[in-house]
Amino acid sequence: MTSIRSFVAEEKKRLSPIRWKGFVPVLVLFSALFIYFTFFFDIHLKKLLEWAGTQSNGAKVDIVRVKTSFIHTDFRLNGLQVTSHSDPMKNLIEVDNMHFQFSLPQIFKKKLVISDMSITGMQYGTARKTSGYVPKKPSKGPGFLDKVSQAANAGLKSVMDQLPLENLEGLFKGNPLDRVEKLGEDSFSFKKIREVETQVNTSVEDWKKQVVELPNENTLKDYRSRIENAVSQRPNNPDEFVRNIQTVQSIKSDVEAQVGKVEALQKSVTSNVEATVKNVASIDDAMEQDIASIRSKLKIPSLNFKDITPQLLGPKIMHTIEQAAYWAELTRKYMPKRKKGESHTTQEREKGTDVYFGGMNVYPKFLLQHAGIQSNVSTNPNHGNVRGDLTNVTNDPRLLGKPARLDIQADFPTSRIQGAKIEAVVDHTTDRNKELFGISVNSFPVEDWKIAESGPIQIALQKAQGKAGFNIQFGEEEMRATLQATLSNVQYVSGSTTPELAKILERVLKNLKSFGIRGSVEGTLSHLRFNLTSDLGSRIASGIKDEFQERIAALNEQIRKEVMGQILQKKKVLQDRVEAEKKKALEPIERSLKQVREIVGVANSARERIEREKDNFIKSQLNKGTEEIRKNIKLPGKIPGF
Amino acid sequence: MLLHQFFKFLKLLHSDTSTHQLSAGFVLGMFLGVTPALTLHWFCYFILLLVLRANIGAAMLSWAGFGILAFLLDPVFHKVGLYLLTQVAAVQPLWTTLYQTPLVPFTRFYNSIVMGSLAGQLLLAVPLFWISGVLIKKYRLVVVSRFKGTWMFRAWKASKLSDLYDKYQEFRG
Repeated sequence: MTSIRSFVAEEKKRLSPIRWKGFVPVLVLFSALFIYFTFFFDIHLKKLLEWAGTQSNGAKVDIVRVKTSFIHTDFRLNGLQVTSHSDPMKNLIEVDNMHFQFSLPQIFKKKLVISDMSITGMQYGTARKTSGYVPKKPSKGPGFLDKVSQAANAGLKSVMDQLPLENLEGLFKGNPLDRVEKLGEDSFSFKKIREVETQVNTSVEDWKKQVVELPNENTLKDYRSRIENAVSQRPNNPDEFVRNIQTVQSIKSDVEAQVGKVEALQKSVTSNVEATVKNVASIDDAMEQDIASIRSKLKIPSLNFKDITPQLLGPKIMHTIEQAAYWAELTRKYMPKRKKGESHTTQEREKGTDVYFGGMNVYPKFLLQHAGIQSNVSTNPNHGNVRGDLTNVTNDPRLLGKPARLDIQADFPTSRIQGAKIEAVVDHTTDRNKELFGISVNSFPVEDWKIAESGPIQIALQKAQGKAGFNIQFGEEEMRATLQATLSNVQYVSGSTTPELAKILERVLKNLKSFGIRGSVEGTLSHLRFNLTSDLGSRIASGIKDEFQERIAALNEQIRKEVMGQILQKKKVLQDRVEAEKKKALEPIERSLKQVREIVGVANSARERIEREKDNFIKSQLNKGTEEIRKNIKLPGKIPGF
Repeated sequence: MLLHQFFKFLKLLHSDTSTHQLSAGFVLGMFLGVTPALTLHWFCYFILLLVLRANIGAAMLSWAGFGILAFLLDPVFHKVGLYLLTQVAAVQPLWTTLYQTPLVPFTRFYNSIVMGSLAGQLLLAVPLFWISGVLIKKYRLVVVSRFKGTWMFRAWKASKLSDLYDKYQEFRG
C-alpha cells in the first residue's frame, strides 16, 4: 500500500520550479510599499528634509507640508521656515510655496536632478512662534569659518589696539600722577645713575694711573741737557763730531718713543673720556624709559589716530564676515571641489569605499539646474517684489563644470526697502575654492540701529535713511571684503561713561546729519588687514583729539618734569665731575706731549747744527792743509787748485 | 535561532525534500548572507527565494551562517572589490556604463564590499550548489539509512505513537 507520505513525495517531484504561492508575499510586499509611498512617504520625507536642513543651517528648519508625485515627477513643499542662526526667534527666510520638477530617468540612476524649481511667496525676517535654536555640535578641528574668524579677530584687534579709547575713561579724575608712585631705587633712571657712577669712578682711577706714566720733568730736563751738552762741545776731529751726532740721534729716538707713548696714552684716555661722557648722557634714555613706564601705568593713549570707525563698527563688520564665512564653509562641505586629474573620487563610508565613475555628459548625483524665485507684494507686510534665479547647485561642481549662482532683485515697499540685490557665486569647479557674496540696497530705513554698544562710546541711530553695498570674496586661503554705505537724515542717540566723551559726541553728532562708511578687509587667512573709515569716526576722532590732545600733552609734560626733577640734579653732578676729571687727565697729557715734541725739535736742530759745524770744520781743515802744502812746495807757475 | 534552524534543517535532510531544492536554498541563503542589505540585488535574491522552489529552511540556515562569516570576510571583500573597481583597466568602461544605467546604481556595485561580495558569490555559487548536493546525498545514503536500520527507529516505527505523529505531520502539511 502506497503511503500518503510517499504519494505526496511523488507529487512534489512533479511540481514546477516556481512556487506560485511565493508570489503572495511578494505581492503583499509591493502592496505595502505602494501604501507606504502613497500615505507615509511624504511625512517621512518632510521629517528628513527638516532634519537635513537643520543640520546644514545650524538652526531649525520647519516645513508645513510636502507632496511628492512620481507620476508627475514633481514635488511640492509648503510653509518653509529657515531660522536665522544669529537670532533664533526670527526666520532668515520664509517661503510659502516651492515646486520642484525632477527628472525621473535620473532617479532610476540614483541621481536627483531638478530641472526646474519655482519659489513663490518669499519673506525675510519674519517672527517665529518657537525658538529655532539648535545646540552646536563640537567640531572635529578648525574649519574654514574658524580660520576666517581667528584671522579677522586678530586683524581687527591690531587696528583697535591703536585706539585705546577705554583709557580715556577716568584718566583725568583727580591728579593722575597721584596714582603713580614716585621713582624708586629700582627705576631705570636710578639704576642707570648707579651704574654710571660706578663707571665714572673706575674711569677716573684709570686716568689718574695713566697720567702717572707720563714722562716726568726730570726726564725731560735730562734730555734737554744732554742735547745741549752734545751741541756745546768743540770737537777737534771729525770722529768727535760723528759721535756727537750719534748721541743726539740716540736722544731723539728715545724722545720719539716717549712721544709715541704719550700719544697712545692720549688716545686711550680720550676714548675713555668720550665713553664716559656718552654713558652719562645715556641717563636721558633711562629717563625716557621711566617716562614711558609711567605713561603706560596711567594708560595714556597716544592719540595718533585719524578715525575711530574700527572701534565703532569693527565688531559689526566681523559678525557679517563670519556669517558669510559660515555660508562659504557650508558650500565647501556640500559642494566640494575635486582635485585636478582625479578620475575617481572616493568617499570613505562606514563599510567599504564608494568609487565614483564619472564620464562625459553625465549628471552628478545631485543637481538643481534652475530655480526661479518669485514673490509679489501682498497684504502681508513682509512680502515684497522678489525676482531671482538660482542655478547649477550640485554636489559635484567639477563634473558639471559651472559655478552655482544666485541672483535676486527685491523691493519691499511696505518696509520701504528699494533696490535690494543679492548676488552669490560659488565656484568649486577647479582646484581652488572661490566664493563671492554680494548684497546691495539702494534705499532702506534704519531704526534703532546700535552702532557702538560696548566700550566708552555708545551710539545708536534712532532713525536714518541708508544706502549700502557689501561684497566679500573668499579664495582658498585668502579673502577680500569691501563695504560702502551712506546714511542720511540721521537722528542719533549717544552716550558715554566719560563726561568729556559725552560732550564731544553731542557736539559732533549735532552737526552730522549724514555720513558715509567705507571699509575693506583683505589679505591671507594668516594676516588680514582692516581698513575702516567713516565721516562719523573721523569727526569723533578729531573731536577727541581737540579735547584731549592738550590735556594729554600737558600730562605728558607734567610726567616729564616730575621725572627730570628727580634725576637731572644727580645727572648734573655726574657731568660736572666728569668734566673736571677730564680736564685733570687730558691737560697734563697735552702738556707732556707738547714738551716731548719740542725736545724732538730741539734734537733735530742740534743735529743740524753739529752737521754744519762738522762740515765747516772739515772745510777749514782742508783749507789749512792746502795752504801748508802750497807753502812747502814751490811750484813753477800756477797750478789749478793751488 | 541558529539552533532552531539547524534542527529544522536536520528534519529536512531526513525528509523527502529534493536535493536540488535544498542546495538552491543553500546558495540563495549564501547570497543573502554575504550581500550587504538595502541593495537592489539583495531584494531580488529575497524575491527569488520566495518565488522559486528553493528550500527556505536551508536558505535561512545558510543565510545565518554566511551572514556571520561575512563579518569576518568584509576586509577581504573590500580589498577584492576595490581592486576590481579601480585597478582593472579593462572593466573601467563597463563600470562607467553601468554607473549611468538606470536601476544599476541601486545595486551599489560601486561600493568595494558589495563588489567584493558579488565576486565571491559568483565564484562560490556553482561549487556550493554541487558540493551541498553531494553532501546531502551522501548523508541520506549513509546516515539516514543507517539510522533507519537501528532497533530504536524500527521500534518507533512499529509503535502507535509513530502513526499518530505521521498523521499530525500530514495534517500540518
